[in-house]
Amino acid sequence: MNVEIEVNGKMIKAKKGEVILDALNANGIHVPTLCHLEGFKPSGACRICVVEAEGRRELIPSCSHPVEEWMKIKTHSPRVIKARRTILELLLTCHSGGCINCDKNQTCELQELAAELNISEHSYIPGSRRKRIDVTSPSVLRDPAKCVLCGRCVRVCEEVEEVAALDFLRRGSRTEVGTVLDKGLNYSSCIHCGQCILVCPTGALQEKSSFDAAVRALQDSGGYPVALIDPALAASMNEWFGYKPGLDFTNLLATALKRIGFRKVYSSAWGNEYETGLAVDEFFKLRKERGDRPLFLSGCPAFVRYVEQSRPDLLNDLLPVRPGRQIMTHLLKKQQDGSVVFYLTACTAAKSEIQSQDRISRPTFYPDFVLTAREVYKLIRLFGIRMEDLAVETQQDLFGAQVRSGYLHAVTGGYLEAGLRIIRSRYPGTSVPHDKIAKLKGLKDIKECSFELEGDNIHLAAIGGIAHFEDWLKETASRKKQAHLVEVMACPNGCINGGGQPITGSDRNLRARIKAVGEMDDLYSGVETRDKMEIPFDFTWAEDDLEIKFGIRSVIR
Amino acid sequence: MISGVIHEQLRADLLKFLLQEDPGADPELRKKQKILRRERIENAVVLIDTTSPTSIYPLDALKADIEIWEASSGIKVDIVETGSLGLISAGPVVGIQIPGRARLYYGPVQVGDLQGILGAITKQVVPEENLIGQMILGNQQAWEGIPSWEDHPFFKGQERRVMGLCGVVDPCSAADYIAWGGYRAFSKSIRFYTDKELMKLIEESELRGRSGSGFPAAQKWIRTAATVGEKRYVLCNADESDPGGYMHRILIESNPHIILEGVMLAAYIIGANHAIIYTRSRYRMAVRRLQCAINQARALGLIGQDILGSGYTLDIQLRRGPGAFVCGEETALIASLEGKRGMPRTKPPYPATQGLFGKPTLVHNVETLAQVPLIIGQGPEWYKRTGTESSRGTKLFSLSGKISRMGVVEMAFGTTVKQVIEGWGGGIRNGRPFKSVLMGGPSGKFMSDAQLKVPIDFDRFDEAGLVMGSGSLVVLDDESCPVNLMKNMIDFIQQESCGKCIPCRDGSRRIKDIFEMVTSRPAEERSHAALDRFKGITQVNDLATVMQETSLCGLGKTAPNPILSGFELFRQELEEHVFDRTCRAGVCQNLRLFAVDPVACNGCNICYIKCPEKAIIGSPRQVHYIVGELCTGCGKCHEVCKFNAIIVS
Repeated sequence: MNVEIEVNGKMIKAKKGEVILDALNANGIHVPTLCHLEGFKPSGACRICVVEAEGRRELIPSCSHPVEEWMKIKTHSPRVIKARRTILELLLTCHSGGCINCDKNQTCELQELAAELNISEHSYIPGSRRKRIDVTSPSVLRDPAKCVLCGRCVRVCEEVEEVAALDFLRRGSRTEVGTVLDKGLNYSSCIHCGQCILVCPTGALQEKSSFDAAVRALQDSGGYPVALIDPALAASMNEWFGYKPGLDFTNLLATALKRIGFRKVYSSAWGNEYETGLAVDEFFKLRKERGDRPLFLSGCPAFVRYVEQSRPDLLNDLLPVRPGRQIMTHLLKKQQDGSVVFYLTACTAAKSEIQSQDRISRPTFYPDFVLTAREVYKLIRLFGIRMEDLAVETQQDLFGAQVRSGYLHAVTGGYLEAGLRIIRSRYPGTSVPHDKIAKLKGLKDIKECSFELEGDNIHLAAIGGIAHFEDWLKETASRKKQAHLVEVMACPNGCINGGGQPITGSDRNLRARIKAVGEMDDLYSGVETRDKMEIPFDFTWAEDDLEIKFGIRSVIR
Repeated sequence: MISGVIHEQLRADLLKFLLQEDPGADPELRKKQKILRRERIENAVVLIDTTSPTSIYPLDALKADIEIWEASSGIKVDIVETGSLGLISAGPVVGIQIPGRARLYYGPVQVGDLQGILGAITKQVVPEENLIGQMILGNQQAWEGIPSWEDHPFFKGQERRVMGLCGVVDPCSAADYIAWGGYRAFSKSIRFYTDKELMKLIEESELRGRSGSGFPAAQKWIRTAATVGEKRYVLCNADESDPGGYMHRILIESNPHIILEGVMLAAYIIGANHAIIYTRSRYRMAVRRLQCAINQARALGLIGQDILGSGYTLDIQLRRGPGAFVCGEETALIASLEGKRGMPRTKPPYPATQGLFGKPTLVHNVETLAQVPLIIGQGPEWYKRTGTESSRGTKLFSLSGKISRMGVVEMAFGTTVKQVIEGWGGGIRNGRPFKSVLMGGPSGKFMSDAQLKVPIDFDRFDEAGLVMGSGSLVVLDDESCPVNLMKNMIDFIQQESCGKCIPCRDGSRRIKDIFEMVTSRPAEERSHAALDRFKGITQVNDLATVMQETSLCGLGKTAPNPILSGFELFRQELEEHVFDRTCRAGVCQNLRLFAVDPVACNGCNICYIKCPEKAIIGSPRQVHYIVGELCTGCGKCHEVCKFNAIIVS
């Protein structure tokens, strides 16, 4: 049902029950916000979005107040502007002002807001800004001095990931966002998914950067730097450089990286596809003895971390297969001595993975550096390369034959889709009809499909976000849902929304990234999905190399 | 240990009290009622006020006194621990009763006094020192020539309804409460009346919430009852934490059963099967007594399944919060009960539609719910007899500050604050001149002389721009500094703000910083301090307005009240602080300057010895001197000087 409200003297249409902000946005009226997060319940914490409603003594927050018929709203009246400016000035008194040194410089929402409200001086005497930086986590760096306490990370951590590693501590003006017992992030239940980084409006949350060391290693003349590009990164990198979202950027990125000094640039899709083949093997090996108890794919490092930390009862349900990035890194290092592998990824959890215990005994399985999309962008800028002027000079290097399904891993459901392709080619009798499974595509929290093989009805599910996973588990416990093989990604919609992605993520961008991944898939549609992948050089696997055996996972089998 | 054990025989009797149409008509019951009400006693009885304000007194020594007297005189004395009559400043109040005669209340009673008083009374003589008055129960023989306790200036004219049984009954005894007619409203309601009929009574009574804004209770109740859902909750906010407000705590500690009955009735009327009383773990006595009351009500079958055969099921739980001012806000309270951090959320949706765990929830404070048994029991007509047209019934006020008699008073709406202070409060302590009164704690306002004459009434207060708050009155005389009080109040807010919204969290801190600058030590002033101070004080008004207009919850919206009203009323004094750097009341420690009067100083050297900062120079029999740069203004020298030789400027 629609109602009409008056905004700044003009009548606009609004849906009954929606919040004022949505109605304003739908009508192209801009109101600044800070704590607002699309798709979440409004928190109403920052009060930047207040508007004046006639007949109300106080100003009302447009992000959380529902539209009512009587409303006559002013979005930029003197009272509103004064309130907004005062609030922002107050906020800036406890924000560390070192913008130049800040990771988020020029992409910071607070900076933008200050520019929008034209804050040019400190009206209020600033308070203490000295706060301890939390460097304990291998993946996420927290700088509380830059935190504006908007609570976005707290909401994401609790509502999307159900990990609640971050929450508010203390009260009053000493309130801070922190971890349990105010210890470091490594002490908390953090699973390194990095979703908090994506929503942080300032530089208070960023990835733990290995940028300087990476540059040094890259410029080391004795090394053989190899880049391994995550397809999820190739689908989003263009957003940094002003391109329209939704482009396959692999080759342009390869060109740039080769200029910088990488000797080889591979896509990790080959590894992913190899992993998929192994996973299919393992699944059918375990299928019989397990009955209806679901098995979980162990591709997502954040999910594996979650299981280790919070769901040890599911440890034996993880498929014991090494992730493709590790397989490929191992092969690259075996193929060429002295290889220094840079894994360019959209995943912050991969940063924590390379610091696992297993690396001590099996160093060759781990990339030497993990760089997120943001770090790759900085790297390209550091070497003075202007992507805008760059033309494709070289293609990505091929590790063995070209692959196709491996690219799909970037989106939830992609792993399963790739697996189904293998199953289809291996068992002609299955009921898998097509290459592309529509049920496993698109922006969905939980994707489900099923197929039949020799009278055995096998259900599959792909879940993005730990909260959805927990919901799903509850539903399976009450027998509302079931699945035999489950793909869980800690980030909603998978790696295309990973914690290391460019901070431009809206649903529109995500759709574009999905489209780009689909394009990669289409590009090699002539390539057949092979049942067995050939390793392009003389190599045999050691006995248990492909089983995941690190950390707590050594208890598996 | 929290006990709730009720003897089998007593339980049967109490149920008779509850279930019989007119227990007074049954002579057997009437006799038992008299015994339970302590109208008829066998041994002498001493009733001691054991609420948290009296816990500072050596009550154990008082009891030991009584035991010694018992042993020496051979007369048996029963000691009963009761709640408070409300008169805190004369604590501990002790009631003494011998068989057949009226009860006598004394206060303050010191250790050693009791033996003499008991000795005299048993000889039928009434010592008049510290006597409050006599309380005649039933057909007891009155003491001749002794005034009634109700004629004591603190009690005279009070309309004691909610507080009616406070100080008379044993708070840990359901039997006492039932003997005085308690729980009858509930037992009748659930057996004979439907929720709709009772809701009508609440509507007719025009009950308004006592937490400050005076929201019509019936509206809330109807909305909660009308929201479709299987589960509903009643929440009782017993987490009172206004600085200066203690009436709820006294009420809980003195008569927890009336609150329980209010909760039960509210739950029955809105159709809730779950009720939760939220208090804080630091209020140990309140927690203990509420838990004891709940256990006893459960033992009597007043809580549980199929209550008194009516088919109605109710469970009441007591929850203890960790103690946060903001948890008095209903959505923060709900968040705290849900196991989350006690932070308010935006409204709407209101708790009446989406409250605890998303279910419709009725939230009221202790005082509001305590009115309910009276309304149901005596009827709305009776209830409306006191008070004003727009505010019916009575209101509790706690008096503190520079006032002669401190305590909790219950008075009918329509009285003025002036009457409260001058009548029950007994005026300013030591006869000093009155300055102002802060009504409503950290969210209240300072009142001017003219405003003191505004009748206490929700609507009239609203018109006059005043804040009733929960009902705490802090009285200021010429020796108290409003600037200091404003600073303390905003400091309280900046510590107790939940930290969610920016205007409250950072605004309160900024204002506090500015007040910190205003009351800083002139001697330690740095280069730009004066400029900062002037700039700051001009910003306070803007900051306060933004806080009021944009804060998320009531805490932030009302936090600037003391500041804004104080700025209006005490402009002169504030300017003295800002520009002249003096505090005329001599309260702001940093602004106090001490000097030695060379004529009066005889060189006794005591100030030299006592000064913690070594800021005084001088030797015996020489005139001393205070070094201004070293002096912190602690005032120790002023205290110890016997010759009035230390002058404060």
